[in-house]
Amino acid sequence: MSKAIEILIADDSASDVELAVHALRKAKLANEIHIVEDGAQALDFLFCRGPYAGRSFADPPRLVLLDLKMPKVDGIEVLRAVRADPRTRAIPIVVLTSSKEQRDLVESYNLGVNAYIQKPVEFERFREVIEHIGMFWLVVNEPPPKDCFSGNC
Amino acid sequence: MKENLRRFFMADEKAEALASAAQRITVQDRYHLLVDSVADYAIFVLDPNGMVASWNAGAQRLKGWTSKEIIGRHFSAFYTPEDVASGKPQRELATAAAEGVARGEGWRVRKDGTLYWADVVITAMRDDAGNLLGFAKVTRDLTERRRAEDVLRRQQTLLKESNEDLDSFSASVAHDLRAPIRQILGFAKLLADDYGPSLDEEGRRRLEKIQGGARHMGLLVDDLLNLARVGREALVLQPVPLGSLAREVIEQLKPEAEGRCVEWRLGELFEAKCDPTLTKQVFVNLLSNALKFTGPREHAVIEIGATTTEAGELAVFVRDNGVGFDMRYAGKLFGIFHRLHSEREFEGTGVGLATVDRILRKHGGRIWASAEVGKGATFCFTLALPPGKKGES
Repeated sequence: MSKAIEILIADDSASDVELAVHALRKAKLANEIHIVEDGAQALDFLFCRGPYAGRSFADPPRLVLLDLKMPKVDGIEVLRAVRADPRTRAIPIVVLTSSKEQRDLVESYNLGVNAYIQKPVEFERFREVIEHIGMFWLVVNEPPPKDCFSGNC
Repeated sequence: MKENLRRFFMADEKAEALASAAQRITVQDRYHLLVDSVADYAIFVLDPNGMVASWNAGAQRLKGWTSKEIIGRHFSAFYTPEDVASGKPQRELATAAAEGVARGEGWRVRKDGTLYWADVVITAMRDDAGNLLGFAKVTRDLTERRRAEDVLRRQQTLLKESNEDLDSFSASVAHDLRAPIRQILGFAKLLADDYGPSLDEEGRRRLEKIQGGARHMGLLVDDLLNLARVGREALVLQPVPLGSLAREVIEQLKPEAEGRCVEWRLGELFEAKCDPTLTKQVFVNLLSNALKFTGPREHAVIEIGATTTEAGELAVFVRDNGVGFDMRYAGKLFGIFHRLHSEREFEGTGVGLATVDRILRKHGGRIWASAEVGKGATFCFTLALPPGKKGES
């Protein structure tokens, strides 16, 4: 990979992914976006294994937009695995899901998600939300320093 | 003279003695007749040690023993082996002797070994000197009633489970509908944005229709999800000053009333024990309805106040001078999807009032409405409040 991936989107809905990418591009927020369709691929990517064995822990995405309801491995499992490993713990994860179920909210926050957003149904609103998230995590927020991904913290 | 008087009084005393003897016999006979003929209750006497000393028709019917078989036997014969082993019969007698009476419900055994659920009262009988003469025992068979209670409880559980299933089904259906709705709205918007200019007016209008339909569907899904959630979640009751709640909601609705002449008349409301979140929803729904249906009025007047029903319940009313509705259809008002105005006249999903109705019924209260077409409507609701409290904190 020549350029660092800035945003990883893990979502099994091609339609939602397309709308999110459209919104991000329109807001000129991200040039390098990578998309995975399920939790297993998301874990391979974040843990630099399988098809992503060439990736480095020192180069994590600046932001992960994580859907919860995905086939194979769901969002909660991904969150759990990422937060459990010192090499990936600090990666900013925003859950972006259709669900507003109490159970999902509680579990996500208990596992240390950075933010939880329910995907709005209205496109204008959806676009606004994506823009806000992107703006915050990629521009406003100070990213975790490289040391945080060395596994020594 | 004295001799005559003496004979006179003696005659009376004798007559009295004869009369009272006759009375006593009659009373005793009457007693036997009464106790003996009572077939629904076992009424009999135990001696101070618990031996059965008398019997009646009810006892035979209930327990199966004839008087010949049971008199002289210990009354622990009526108890289950577990109870006998734990000393329950003796305990009951001890309680009756100490406190005068022992009451309880429990399983008892018939002569044939079958069990029945009994309601038992054992009363200690004492003479004037306070010596224990024995015990009077009255037993009632409650097996039928208990069986009916079990059936009822089971039906209630089934009903509750069925409702829960329905609610979580509605919730997951509504939830899964969100994604395709988002898809329709999203791509319709992108289409309108990027290709709108190359469409003619009719083309753009048709696109609007698609978006409008999807938007409405989205609102419907949200309202249905909300209705299902209201059904599922438990109430969190606390004392809530309804006046403050109403004031909050009016503030919240100010943006919607922007540019219109709306007069809010908030009277003194009372404090009620209710779920604050759900009750707020009731106000939001009723007040935004009032706002909506007074839309055509130049000067909208929405009044909120407290009142007392004929039955003495405390109620809240919301009265508006809007378009009202036809009372002939008032019965449909709180049904799901039933609307009394067309989508063309007033937008809405037809779920709001059903949700309000459900919230209030969950509290043990209710809602009702009256209206006149063209004049306005009044909605009244109760929250099953304790009587008498008004305006106190």
